[in-house]
Amino acid sequence: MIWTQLLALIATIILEYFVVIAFLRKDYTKLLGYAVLINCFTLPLATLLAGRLPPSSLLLGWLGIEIGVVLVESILWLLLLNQKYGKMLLMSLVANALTAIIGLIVMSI
Amino acid sequence: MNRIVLGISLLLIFSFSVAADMIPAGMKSVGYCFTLENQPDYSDYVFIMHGGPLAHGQVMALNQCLSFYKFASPRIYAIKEKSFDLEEFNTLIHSYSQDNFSEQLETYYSRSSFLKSDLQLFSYGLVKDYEPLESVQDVLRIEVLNDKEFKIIKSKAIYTYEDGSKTEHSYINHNVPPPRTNQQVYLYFLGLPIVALIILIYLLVKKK
Repeated sequence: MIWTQLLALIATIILEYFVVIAFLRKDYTKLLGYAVLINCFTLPLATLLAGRLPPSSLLLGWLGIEIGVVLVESILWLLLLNQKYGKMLLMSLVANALTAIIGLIVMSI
Repeated sequence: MNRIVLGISLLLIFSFSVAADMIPAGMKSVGYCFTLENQPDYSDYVFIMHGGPLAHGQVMALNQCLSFYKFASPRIYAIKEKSFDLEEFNTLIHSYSQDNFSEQLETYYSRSSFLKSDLQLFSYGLVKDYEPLESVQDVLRIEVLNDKEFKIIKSKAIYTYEDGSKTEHSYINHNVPPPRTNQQVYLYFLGLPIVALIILIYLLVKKK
C-alpha cells in the first residue's frame, strides 16, 4: 500500500532532520523545510530504483543506491546552506546511515 | 543416532518446502480468478477446470469466477452435456485418497468425449507490496468449440485495487497481462520527486 511508503518517508525526514539540526544547530524551521524537500526528491526515486534490482545483485545494488543518495543529498545541502562540503558530506552520510540501519531493523521485525 | 539424523533431514526438507511457499520480502500475492464470458452461448456443453496440484476437476457454473491453487496450471475441458455423467465425475474426484488417483484422472480426461483447451492458466503471481492491487480477474472467451477443436483466448483483465476501484484492460497478447495503470504509484514515485526538485531549483535560483 502506498501509505507504508509515505510513513517511511515521514520517518526518514524526521530522523534525518534530527541529524541535520545536531550538525548545524540553527535555522530549525528552514532546515526542516529543506529536509522535507530533499527527502521527497531522493527517497521515492531510490525506492523505485531498489525495486528494479535483480535478486542476484540486491546488496551491491542497494549499497550503490545509498551511496548515490548520500552524494546527491550532500550536494543539495551544500548548495542550499553554503557550508563546507566535507561537513555536508559527513552529515548526509550519518543521516542516511542512520535511516538505513533503522530501516533494516524495522524490516527484520 | 539414526533417528536424530532422520529427524533433522526431515526438518530440513520440510523447511525448504515451507520456504518455497513463503513470499519474498517486499512482495505480496494478489487474488486471482477467471470467468468464461460466452459460456452461456455453449449451453449444451459442460466446462471443467482441471490440471496441477489441488485442481483435479471443478465444473464451471455460469458466471462463476473460478480460483485455483497458486502453483496449479489448469486447463479448461469441454464435454457435451449429454455425454457427461455428474455422478461418475463426483465419484472420481472424491477418490483422491486412492493410490492410482492420478492414473484414473488421466484416463478419465483422455476420453474422446473431452475437448482440452489450448490455453493453460496460471496464477497472477506476486507484485510489489506497495502496489494497491488487490485482485485480478481474467475474462476468457471461447473462440472455437466444435467436435475437433476447443480454443480459448484471454479477452480482458479486470484489476481491483485496495480502495475498491476497478480498471479493465484488453489483452493484446494473451501470454502477457495488460499493464496496470496505477495513479497512486506514479504520483508518489515520480510526481513527488519532480515537484520537490522544482521547488529546490526555485529556492537555489532565488538565493543567487
